Amino acid sequence: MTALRKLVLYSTNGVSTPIQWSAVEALRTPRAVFNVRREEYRARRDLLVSGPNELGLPCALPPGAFYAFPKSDRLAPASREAAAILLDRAHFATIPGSVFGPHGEGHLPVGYAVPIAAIEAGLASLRQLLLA
Amino acid sequence: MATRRLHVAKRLDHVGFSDIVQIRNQVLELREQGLPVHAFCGGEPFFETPEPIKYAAVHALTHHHTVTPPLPASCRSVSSSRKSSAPRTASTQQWRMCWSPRAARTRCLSWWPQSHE
Repeated sequence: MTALRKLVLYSTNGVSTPIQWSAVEALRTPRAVFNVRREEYRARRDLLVSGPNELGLPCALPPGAFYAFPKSDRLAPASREAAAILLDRAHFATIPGSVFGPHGEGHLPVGYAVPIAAIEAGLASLRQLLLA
Repeated sequence: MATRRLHVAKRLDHVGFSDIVQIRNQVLELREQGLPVHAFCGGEPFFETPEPIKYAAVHALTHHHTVTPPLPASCRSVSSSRKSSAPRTASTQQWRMCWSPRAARTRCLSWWPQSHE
């Protein structure tokens, strides 16, 4: 119970009352609303993940969230260097996986909370760099 | 009126910007140069907040529901135990009554704003 008390305390303290009322309303949101959004995210995820996999950057299909996490060792051994290469040569901005700790090293988190057209343009740029 | 000079702790000299901020700054610099940048470094949900959720906050503001309501009676025994030296002994059932969405709907919302007075 001590852990639960702490969880409740730090999750609810400081949240303004109007926002708490919004949160209550959010709990009533029909599932259909989320289903539409989930399908949209799924389409973007599938498109984004297909790109790195085709280009030799193995990428697992994320079951949730809005980040894919392709491997970056084809670009450089260190993810910091790989991110710099992508930004310099393809204007493809991502962040080094190492910022997420040792398990993130060798990967690049790529967010897909962006429009389909932006994903397509980014993948085209990535393709140009890696197939050149 | 005398102004107090703000002293910044020296330890802050050793605090740098995070990698994420540095990358975002680079993205901004490239864009300022007119270069297209494909930014995948951030991630924010792109859907608009559903109207009922937005209006719940607006409704709360316009109806002066801007203070934290007191706990319902079923929770008071939990909070009052803080005053005693005895450890708080809320049962799982009590916490469930306090914090579940159903409790929020059936208790907190039904007695707010006047019925708890």
